[in-house]
Amino acid sequence: MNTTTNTMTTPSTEHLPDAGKYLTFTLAHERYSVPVLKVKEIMRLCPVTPVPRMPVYIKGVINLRGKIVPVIDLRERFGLPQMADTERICIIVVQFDTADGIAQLMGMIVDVVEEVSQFNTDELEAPPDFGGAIDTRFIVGMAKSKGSVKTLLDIDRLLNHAGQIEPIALGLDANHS
Amino acid sequence: MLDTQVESLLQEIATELAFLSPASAQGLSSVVQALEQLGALPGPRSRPQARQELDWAHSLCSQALASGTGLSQQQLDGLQAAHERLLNALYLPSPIDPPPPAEPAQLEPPPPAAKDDGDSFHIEPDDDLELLNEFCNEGRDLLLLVEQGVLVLEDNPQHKDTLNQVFRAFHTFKGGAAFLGIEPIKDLAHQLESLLDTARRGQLNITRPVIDLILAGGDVLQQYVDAIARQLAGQGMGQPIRVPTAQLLQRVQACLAGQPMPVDTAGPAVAPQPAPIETPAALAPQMPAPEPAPASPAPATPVALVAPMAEDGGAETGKAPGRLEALASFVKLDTRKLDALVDLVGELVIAQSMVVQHPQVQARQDRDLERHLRQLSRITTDLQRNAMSLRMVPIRSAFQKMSRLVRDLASAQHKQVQLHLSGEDTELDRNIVEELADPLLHMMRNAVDHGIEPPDQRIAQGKSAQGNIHLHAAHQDGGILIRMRDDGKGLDARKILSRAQQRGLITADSHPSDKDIYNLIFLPGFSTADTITDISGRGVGMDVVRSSINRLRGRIDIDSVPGEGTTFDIFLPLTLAIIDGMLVGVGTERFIVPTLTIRESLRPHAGMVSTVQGKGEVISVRNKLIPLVRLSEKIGIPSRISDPCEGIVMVVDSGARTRAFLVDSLLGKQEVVIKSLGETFKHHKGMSGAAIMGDGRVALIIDPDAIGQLPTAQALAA
Repeated sequence: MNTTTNTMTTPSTEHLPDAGKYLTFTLAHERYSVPVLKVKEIMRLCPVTPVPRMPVYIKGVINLRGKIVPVIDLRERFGLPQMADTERICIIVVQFDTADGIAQLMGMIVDVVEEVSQFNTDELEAPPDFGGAIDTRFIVGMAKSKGSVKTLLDIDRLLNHAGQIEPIALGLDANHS
Repeated sequence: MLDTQVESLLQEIATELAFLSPASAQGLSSVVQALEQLGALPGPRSRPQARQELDWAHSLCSQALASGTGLSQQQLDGLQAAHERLLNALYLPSPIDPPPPAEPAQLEPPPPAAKDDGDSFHIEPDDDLELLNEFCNEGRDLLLLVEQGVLVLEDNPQHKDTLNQVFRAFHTFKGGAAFLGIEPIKDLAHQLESLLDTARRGQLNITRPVIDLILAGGDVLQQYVDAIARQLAGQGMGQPIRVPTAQLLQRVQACLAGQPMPVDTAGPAVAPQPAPIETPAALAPQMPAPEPAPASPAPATPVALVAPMAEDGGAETGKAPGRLEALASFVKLDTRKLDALVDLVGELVIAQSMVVQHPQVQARQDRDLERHLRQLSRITTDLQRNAMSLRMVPIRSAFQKMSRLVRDLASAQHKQVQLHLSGEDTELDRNIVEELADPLLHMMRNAVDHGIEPPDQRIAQGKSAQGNIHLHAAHQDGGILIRMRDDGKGLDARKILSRAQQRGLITADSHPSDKDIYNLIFLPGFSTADTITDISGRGVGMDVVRSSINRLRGRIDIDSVPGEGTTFDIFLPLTLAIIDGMLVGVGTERFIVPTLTIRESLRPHAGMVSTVQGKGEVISVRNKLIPLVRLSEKIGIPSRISDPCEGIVMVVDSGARTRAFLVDSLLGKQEVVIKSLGETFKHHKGMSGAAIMGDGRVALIIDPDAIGQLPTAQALAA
């Protein structure tokens, strides 16, 4: 990615996020944003049917008006500390494209949905180089607006990746039947 | 010449470029966007020169945009020049270079005989793609008519109605091609039409070589249609479509001139289904080329088959006009609209059940309300049944492909085979019929290749010289049964067993029954053919067949009597969309097990269950020992019970094996609409889908075969 250390003057040229409207939400006291065009629906947390033998951040599936939609727990996905569920916990249903170009829906469990706001080009920056401390594959940039910093997520990379992961067998035992 | 989209984007870029000033980033983002959109269109994509310019311009502009410094005057000039070159590249009539090898394989022209014969044409992005699509669909139907008609003519060369029908088919085909300006197709269709015209005027006899010629012509037209369809589907748009036709045209000319026809030496050129390399269709059955008819008149033995239209000799007016009448009351429907309708009906059923089962509604003891709700329920059920039936089609279309295959195969192998079809009217889900075609083709090929013996062998055994294959479909047990039975030489159990042992598929000291041995042919990598015949005998066959059937949630059984023949029985559910399921409880969750796979359920009592080597468990049911599988362990959730005698055991036929699944409780039996779990769970094994229950919650549907094969997971703390 970057070889420069000064992120203010020469950010990576390929990954500058687009200006536009973003939906901002909170996860464990951190703020994240996604392009609002990708958001299909926001709903209160409803009963999720777990799907066995999947990575722990795949919470399961829900029934969205007759469609089966998988749900991912973003806190688990990012390895953020667990917190008790509050009343404001929501599922944001987004649409992303798989590697084969198929449109898919997925729900993301977030703590609080904050707002939809416009981020202008001058408020946007390329993802900073944390020097390997953080997995920045899913970060498409940062936004500084209204006094806080939001991390912009690359929905396609984030969720597509989730789908490709082989389900993790939990505590394999040598007995095959 | 150019697509309007491409034109307008080019205009936009030109305008923006004109307004760009040096050292300013304003306007650059629109240029970048326009360049991106342009790069995504098929026209520019297929021209390497254009792509080059696009990429260069794009990276220059995005860099300038990102750095915020804009472009220098020099760079701006360079950009203008690039734009010029881009325009030139896009206005060229055809791609300059061949496509880079990285792109997926498109139509591979079949190996041309000696010369580059056959005209080529290509589709421009601005052609009327909808019309082309209709042409393809109609073309397919017409070619099917031709094929069926020709097979009738084989038995009955004078059948006037069929001659007319085939003539009209080529005529219509020609018209469509002419309208769209596709010369090669028009020419070929015209020649074939003339051939038929000469025949129906009584000036040409429909002999065996002529039949082969017409079939070959139809195959070539099919290749064209398939190639167009592939390009319409997005593969390699703009590539020239070239199918060699020169030799074929020569043969037709010779035939029309009354000369003996040159023998077809073009080898496998006329396979009607060229397989694109990148898909496992390479494994799917391909039609082998009909072998060239010998110059001397072929023996009159009919490689006959039951064509749906041919009755006996020409006395009856063929069913053709009758069929046309029946067709008149059909309507062509966009399948997407149909699927959307069926989906909506499915949602209606669920919504209706959620209303009815709502505690508030259940609490009200109003007689009127109850009556209305019952009425609502009745109408919804009827609606659903109707919607489901919209997707049902007769299995006839899958069966009819067999006729042609048997004819070609038998002729190529100098065998005599009669195909008997019955139950073609049996209806099942359209998707199932489509998926069935390949497995059936493969099994049919096996039957002719390996099952039916050459005539002299048969006679030596006291059988008729002509072999028989019966293909039958019928509704049975709430599903559908398809049976393929041949009277050939049957399966050689000893050979199968030894080959399986050789391949390490079975241990040397096991003693399987004959039935078990026959089932070994379904194992991957198995084949007892000494030489690899064209496609079958390569050892990829029967396991692919079985997995296809399993994917359709069916099962396949095999039985054989050496010397007398082999029978395959395929059981399928009526529809893929609805499944009859047993709702079971495991731990705190509910799951659905397809009832089609359940043989019986029971509550075991003490003494039925025993452990093996301290790890495995078996249960004795009717004196047979069946391995016991605790579903909670396979799924990975804690069970409410530990003693099998407190739970329920279901004996399930999963794949080739029988297992006994232990669950906590049996909650009921229900018909549910299956929903796919989606791309996210593409690699997931164990669940074949999900269903939405009456209370709106999701229940996962267990795939007994897959889940039985999973390694055991340790149960999690909830």
